[in-house]
Amino acid sequence: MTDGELVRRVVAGDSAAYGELARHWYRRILALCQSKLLSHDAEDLAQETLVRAYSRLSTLANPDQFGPWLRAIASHLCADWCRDRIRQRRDVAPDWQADLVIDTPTADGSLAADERAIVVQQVASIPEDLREVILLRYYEDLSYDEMANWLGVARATVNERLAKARALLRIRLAKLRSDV
Amino acid sequence: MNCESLPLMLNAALDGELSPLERTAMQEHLTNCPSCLHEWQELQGLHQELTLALTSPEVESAVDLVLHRIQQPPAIPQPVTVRERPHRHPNRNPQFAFVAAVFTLLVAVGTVTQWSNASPPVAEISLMTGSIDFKPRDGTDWIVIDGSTRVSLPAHARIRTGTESLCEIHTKSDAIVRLNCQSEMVMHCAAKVELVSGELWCRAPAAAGMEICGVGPSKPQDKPNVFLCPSSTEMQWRALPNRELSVLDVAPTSAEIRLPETTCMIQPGQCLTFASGSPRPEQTHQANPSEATQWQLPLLVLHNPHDLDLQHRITAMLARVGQSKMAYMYENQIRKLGPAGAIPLLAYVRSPESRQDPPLRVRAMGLVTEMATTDAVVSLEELVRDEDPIIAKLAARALTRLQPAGRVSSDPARRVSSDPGGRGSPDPAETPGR
Repeated sequence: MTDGELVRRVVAGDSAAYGELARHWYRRILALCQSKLLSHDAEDLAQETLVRAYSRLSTLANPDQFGPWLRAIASHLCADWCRDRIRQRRDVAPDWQADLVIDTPTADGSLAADERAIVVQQVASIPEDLREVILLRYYEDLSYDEMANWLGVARATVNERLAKARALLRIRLAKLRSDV
Repeated sequence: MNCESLPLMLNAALDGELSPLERTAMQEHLTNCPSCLHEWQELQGLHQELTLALTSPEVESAVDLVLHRIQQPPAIPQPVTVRERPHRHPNRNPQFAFVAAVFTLLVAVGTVTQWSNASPPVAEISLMTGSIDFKPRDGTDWIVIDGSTRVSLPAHARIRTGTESLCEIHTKSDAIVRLNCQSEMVMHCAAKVELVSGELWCRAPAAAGMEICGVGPSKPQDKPNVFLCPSSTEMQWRALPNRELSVLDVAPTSAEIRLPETTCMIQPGQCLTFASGSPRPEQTHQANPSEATQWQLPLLVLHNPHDLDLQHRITAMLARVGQSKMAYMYENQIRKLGPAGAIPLLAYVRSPESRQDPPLRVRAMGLVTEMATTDAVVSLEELVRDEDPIIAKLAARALTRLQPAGRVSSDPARRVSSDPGGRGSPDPAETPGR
């Protein structure tokens, strides 16, 4: 069933159909929020995006454009979050929010887990647009065409960004390991 | 094919985006070019690492949370109230404005009193966060009530909360009812409550049961949703679309709910749904009572910020912040508790068990730094000497905010003088909470 059909079903009162839409888009929204926020709050904002979208679904003029519309909502929420956080940091200590950036798969303290944490840290350190393609690729295994549609860029741009991101990660990881 | 154009192609190959022809061409090039082959092997190694490190996020639990949130009751349109916002006029005489404000207040209070006196009160609103709307049985307009004064409710009084406000009602029969935001109820008598929309929590009195009913049937042949809860039970009721009603047993004991023609057992944490006075077994599910009742925290804080149960609830909420799920939302919920919320948070930061989770302790302290008032000065002075430098720094920062410059002291002997309110009241967080 296409997004448009699912959206029409939800608007007609079938709220269960929204679960299908949410499942389809959640990882992409999370990748966007994580690439913009670098905070655990990204998960909350990804969920908030889906809740907001549901409450305004009847205002969506073209149900087939659900994905880009969702991306716009998530981008606005992330921008609001950043403004809010900047405002808070004027009053609150800037260092108390130094939490982990992206969930590491395990925390068993083993060497492998440490290695994975290092990789995650380096992913967090690359520019936002490169980070997003990496997260999209490894979270959801999206094709270049799907990523291009979601990001609103050309397919070649996705290829370039992934190549750039991987090149950067290779250099940084190699430097990190040579320093140890 | 040359070496310069290869990186893009290698990446595309890694992602399975090359056509068979392109792939063959690439393989041929790699066979003849050791440096590009090395590049390819390095890239495959990185790909392996990234695949291991960036595991796919958990989708089902996130979607469940989203679906749970969108099933919350919808917002109620704002009513027409007897209290109107004053229209600001640049030339308005301030003395006249004051007299008018007093007059409006007297009219509003008088209206509530008049209606309250018309029939003996059956309950009273003991606590509220923000303003709520009240309408007597035969009233046509809603009356806005705000402030901390207790308001007596006559029989059949209708109460409605706003988007941010909650209220607690004590009935003459000793039942306690808490009404969630965006909810509406009718207090028919001291032992009967009707939930019109939204959500309420009710503790039945120890001496008698409490009758709860939902919106009446749409067709004459439908049976009404009327339930009798046994004494001392704690249940949370939610009005659902299609005139259905759900109930969650939030007490640690099971109970037997009486319906007009039958009875129904409910287990702790079990949520039952009823339509036309009959249970809907297919919608029965388990819920977490602690999570389901956390909307009541702002009322509990007003009750007694030193309450042990409250501290446990806030610690549980903090634990969820630490697990990162809905962290932003939980933090904001804690912030909404206002300055009183800093007291249970401080109790947590000072407790021995908080030291087992230093990042969460820092997070709690960050919230204290935002929320604390002068009541917390003594505890903050103690935390200035904390072994965790971040906690100490945050405590010092909070003290700087609360006290005039130069008065931050780590000397216990100066603690009494450090209470700028001069009330000499003991620091609430000094109470051994756990």
